[in-house]
Amino acid sequence: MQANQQPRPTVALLAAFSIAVSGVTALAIGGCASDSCLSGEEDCIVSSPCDRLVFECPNSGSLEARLLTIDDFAAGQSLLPGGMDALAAVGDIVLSNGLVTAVIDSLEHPHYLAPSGGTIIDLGTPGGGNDSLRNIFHATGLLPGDAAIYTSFQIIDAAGVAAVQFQGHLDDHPEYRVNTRYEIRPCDPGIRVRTEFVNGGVEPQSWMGADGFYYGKREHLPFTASPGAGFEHPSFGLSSVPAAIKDTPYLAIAAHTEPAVSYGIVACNLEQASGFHSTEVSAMGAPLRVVLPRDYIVYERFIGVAEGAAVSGAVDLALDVRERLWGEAWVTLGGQITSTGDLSQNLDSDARVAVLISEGNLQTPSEERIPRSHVLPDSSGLFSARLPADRTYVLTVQSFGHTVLEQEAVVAQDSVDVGTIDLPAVGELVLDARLDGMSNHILALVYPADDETQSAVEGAIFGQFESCAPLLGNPNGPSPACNRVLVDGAVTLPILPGNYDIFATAGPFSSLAHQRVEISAGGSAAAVLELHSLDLQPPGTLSADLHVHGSASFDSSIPDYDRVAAFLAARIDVIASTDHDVVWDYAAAMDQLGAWDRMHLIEGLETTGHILFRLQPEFPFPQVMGHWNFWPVPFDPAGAWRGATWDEKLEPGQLFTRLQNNTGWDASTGIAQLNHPIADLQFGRDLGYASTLGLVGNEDLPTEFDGTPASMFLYQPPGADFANSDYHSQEVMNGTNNERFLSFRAFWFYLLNQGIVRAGTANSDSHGLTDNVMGSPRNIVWTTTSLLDFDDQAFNDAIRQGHILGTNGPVLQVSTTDASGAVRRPGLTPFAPAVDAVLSIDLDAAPWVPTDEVRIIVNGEVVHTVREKIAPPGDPLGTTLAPRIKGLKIPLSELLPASGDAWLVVEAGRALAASADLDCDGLPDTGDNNGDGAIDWQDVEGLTEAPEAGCLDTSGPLAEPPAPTDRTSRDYFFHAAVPGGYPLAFTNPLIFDRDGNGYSGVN
Amino acid sequence: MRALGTTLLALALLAVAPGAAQADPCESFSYGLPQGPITAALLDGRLGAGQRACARSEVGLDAGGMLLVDTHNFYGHLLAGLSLDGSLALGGRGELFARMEFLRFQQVITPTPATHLGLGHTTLGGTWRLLIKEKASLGVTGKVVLPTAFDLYKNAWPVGMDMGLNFVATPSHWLSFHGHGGLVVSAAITRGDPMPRIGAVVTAGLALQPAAGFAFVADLHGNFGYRGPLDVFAGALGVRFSDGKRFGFEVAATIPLAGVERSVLRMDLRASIRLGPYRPAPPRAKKKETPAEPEAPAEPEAPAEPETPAEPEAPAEPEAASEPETTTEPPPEPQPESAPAAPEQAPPEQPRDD
Repeated sequence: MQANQQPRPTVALLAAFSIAVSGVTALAIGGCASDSCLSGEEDCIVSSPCDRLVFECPNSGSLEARLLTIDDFAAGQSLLPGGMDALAAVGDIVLSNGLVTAVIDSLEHPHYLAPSGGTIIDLGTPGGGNDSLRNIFHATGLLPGDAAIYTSFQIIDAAGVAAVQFQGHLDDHPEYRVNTRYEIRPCDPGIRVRTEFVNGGVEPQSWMGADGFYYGKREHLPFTASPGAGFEHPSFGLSSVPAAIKDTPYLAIAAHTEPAVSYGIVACNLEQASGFHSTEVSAMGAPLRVVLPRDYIVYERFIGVAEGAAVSGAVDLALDVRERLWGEAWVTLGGQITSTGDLSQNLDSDARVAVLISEGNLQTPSEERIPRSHVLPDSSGLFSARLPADRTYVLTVQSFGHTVLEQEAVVAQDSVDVGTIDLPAVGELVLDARLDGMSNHILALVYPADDETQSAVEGAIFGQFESCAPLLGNPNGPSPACNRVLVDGAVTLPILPGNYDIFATAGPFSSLAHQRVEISAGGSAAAVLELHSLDLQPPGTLSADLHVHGSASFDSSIPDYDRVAAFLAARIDVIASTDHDVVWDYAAAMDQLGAWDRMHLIEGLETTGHILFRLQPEFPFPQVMGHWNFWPVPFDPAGAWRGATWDEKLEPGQLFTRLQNNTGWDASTGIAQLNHPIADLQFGRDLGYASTLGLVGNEDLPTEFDGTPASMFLYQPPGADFANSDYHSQEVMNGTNNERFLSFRAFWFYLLNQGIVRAGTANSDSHGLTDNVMGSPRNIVWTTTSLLDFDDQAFNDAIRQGHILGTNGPVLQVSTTDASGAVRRPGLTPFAPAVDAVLSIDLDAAPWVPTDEVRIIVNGEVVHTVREKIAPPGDPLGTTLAPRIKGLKIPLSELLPASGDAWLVVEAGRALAASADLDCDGLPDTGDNNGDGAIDWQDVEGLTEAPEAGCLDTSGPLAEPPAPTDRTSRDYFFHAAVPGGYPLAFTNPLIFDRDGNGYSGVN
Repeated sequence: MRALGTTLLALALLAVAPGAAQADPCESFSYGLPQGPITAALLDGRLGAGQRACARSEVGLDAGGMLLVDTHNFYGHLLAGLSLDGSLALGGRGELFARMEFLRFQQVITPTPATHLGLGHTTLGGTWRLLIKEKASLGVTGKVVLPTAFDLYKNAWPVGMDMGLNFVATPSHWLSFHGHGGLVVSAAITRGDPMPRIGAVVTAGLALQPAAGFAFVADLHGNFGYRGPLDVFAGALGVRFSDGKRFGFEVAATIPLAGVERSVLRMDLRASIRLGPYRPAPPRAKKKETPAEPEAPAEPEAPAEPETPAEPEAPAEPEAASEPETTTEPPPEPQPESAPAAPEQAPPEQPRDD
């Protein structure tokens, strides 16, 4: 060995690497100063957001950053914005500078898609009653694990700012840290936010670093300034999000329902923010990119608050912010809209006129124009909007869902007045309706009376939401909404020229009024509709709609006043207010309308799964448990969720337990209701629990938990005091068009056969004036209580006992006798029928309700149908009542099997549409959609080739009855008052315990 | 960075140092056939991966890819890249090497997938052989991985280094063992959390060379404490080819079996050209001992190729040579192709020109 030759290079190599390791490690650790909370130190302070953004004002208000107390909710306090979307609760954090107030939910009060608090839930002006924000949370992507969950917070004590910071991580991923600081400075017309997303894990991530704006579908219209955008955003699904992501200099969010503010969001540390948008959710922030371990994203933005419900206020503020941040000059473009041909010059209506201003010229295709603002003129037609300077713009004037004029405008560095723009003239409808000769709350529905009018007047507001014919107002807003008007005294409406059929309804227990009018441009027509009460509601009953929503729900923006007016117009005795995830009492509107004497409102809620989780461990997709109604749940005006509780990531049995433990709901006296049990996904979320589990109707439910989805139904999950099946009622009819009745009914029948006996209910699930008609369908509840002396418990007992008829028109009264000779009406208590018992049936209905058949169903099979014995109704618009069936008696022995337990349900109405079970799950799924008289694969949506014989992998939809085309027919009248629906009533079951050992199902 | 420069300078100076002619296990390999641990490495820039113990001057082109599939969590990670590498032998005793991932495609597959296409990482390193015996060699090796994926990192620039010992042992012509063990460290240059990491890596494997231009390779690789107590325990398999002269080709896959690393597979295809004076493969004693095999006389390395010099006798016939004492002397230098002199005539002190 020549040792003297070798140590030198070896030592040099070792030394060199040691130096390199030491040097680079030192550089890595100490070379850059640790900044903000990016390093994750416990006592760190998140850097102040948008430091370059400075606002000045003559008089700044006092800064506040503190926890809300009960005193903040006392009358006369004006710190909180309040309003239609307000959710602030004791324990939440408030930031205010006297101009703007923001409420950030407490860690323990998460809302909607956010797995924890630390998100903005209210943002408006102090005492303005104008909060129009559902929720802004933070996320890196679409998956549940992409949402930030905060675990600690700290109100920051710093001069000149009101600030709070939250620290946490992505849900279920502690290694992906998230820090957010909210800050308001004096004079700020909004809130500054900085969020840091740190990949402290070991794998690369695909992250956006974004705000998630939860809208809920029927309220907000996000507006962005990218080619072809504005209100138009590409639809997206789980696999198509990347194509929907666009850059924009700002996002403007407007609710279009007064009173409201709008929001303009501008990134402070990015020239353009990136995101995707829909009427349910927006995600906007730092662009999507690969974020390797150790890397991070910082997103700073300013969320401005502008007065008014139009986009233009938010855009004006956003452009002001961009000028301060990026030096972009803006100018004001203004003008006046006139309607010289109209009888009324009032232009203060979203539907009557709006102006979309897009960058481009008249030759630029609409998909290449860049919408910059959208402005609603005031009642005198004046409008103005800020726009980036030195560009050419196209003003697109919209009226009743149509573009009526386009005009080019070139702007330089100075403000521009485009002068006067005169609208094409429209007509005027003066509408009034009376019940029994008195003005009253009545719902009027306006339809085109001919096909020409139909095609001329159909339109969607700003091209968004559903199409209406005619479009009288925002379909999700107050009256007039879409083609519907709440009348209590005469109202005057601008309306496009044409011929119209106008109907007035006061529910199924009054006559129907109809009048045809012709409206000319610049002309006026009057319609006065007379309704008469009909003696149809059985004595000893109350009518009830046990599933309704108002603006407290995330997917409704109907003001409370209009909501309660619609309750009254429907002539409903009892309403269960079941807003999504919150309890709401409608007290102010009830007071304002004097509604307390005319109806009873039970406070409750509909729990609505938002956060997807592994409900079934082996199922390939995360799920939620569907929607469940609970009532009564006491309203707490200062409480989180207004008295409800967090309802995410639970199985039903756990949810029942949480309601029982955390709210005033009592399982022994209250109601838990399974809503729309069979349903498609909406926004990727399960709506119905039976669909969630994939329950089938042709296999027995496992009585022991064996890990299969079906065995979860009767199972009591960990930590629960109840089984998942321990609910009291199930919706059998849901929605005015009742489109999933065949599925709901089949599932209900299946459970009855299995011995799982639950009351069946019929509810409108109305969210406004357009989606469903309040009280259609409804429940007729045989109860010992009354409106005069309402007893919640007695009423709920009747529900639990199934003393209910569900109906949208026909009134069925069914009874039989038990072994003791006592009369037994439908209900869930089994009894032994008399040996010679007969089934007694009476059927009534208003003249405008077609009723063709009565079906008697035993153990799930129709065993008898009555058609000929139904008396023909009189004039559909008349007021004469004649029983359709009186005292029909059929021996039970002709209906029931020779022996054994059984159940019997009676239905009445139109013959049901044919259906088939093509996927062999024991539940009907497909109708004769192509009308060829056979139900096969060709009726299945999306199937273009004949599949192999046997059960289909895909199926549906169930056929909806075709809309009547004869505008003079009874069917058409019914369809006008019950849009999309068909006459139907069903009783709850008579349950026969013929073997004397109780009822445990039938084979 | 100054330390790194010092290191590189020192190693460059060593490149001109003369070596002495000795028996060397590195010479028992076919000239162009890749050597050492499998190149399909799991960390960026081959951080922590074993480096061959034998010094070579070589250039290579590497196409690699890695896949992680987590359907349950809607996550996937696809990585593919093209890299150029080169090494410079330092007198048969050591080498400097560098690797540049000049094209890197990286996609994180989620409902909101993100993709990077651009430059990847750069690796610089060196190896010095401390002990050379006739059938085994032990060296020290290290490398630094530089954050040259400029568009990939936005706010954190990771730097990684590893250092350790590597060895090769060739008990026979058809079997060799290789291994590597050491430390791996990394951290980021960032205003955020540099997240320094340190771990221990061990790689051990063998190559079966049934023919001069062909080898099977199997490795086991462990990384401990780096991203978790067990960062990864992986198995790797590969096949290597050579045209019997300068060209080498490797197809290999590394499959993580346990640990934090969740990749399903890392695959690499690498083609290389060995530079410098050509040295034919040593005669394969096994072939001579098996006369029944008709292919034996047609051994491709030497006589079939016109530019192939005469089969070296002494230095490449370990069985024929007497067992030397433990030495740190480098092996005899092969002759340049242009001067196909007999190996025994080559002066042991001849400076390397590779």
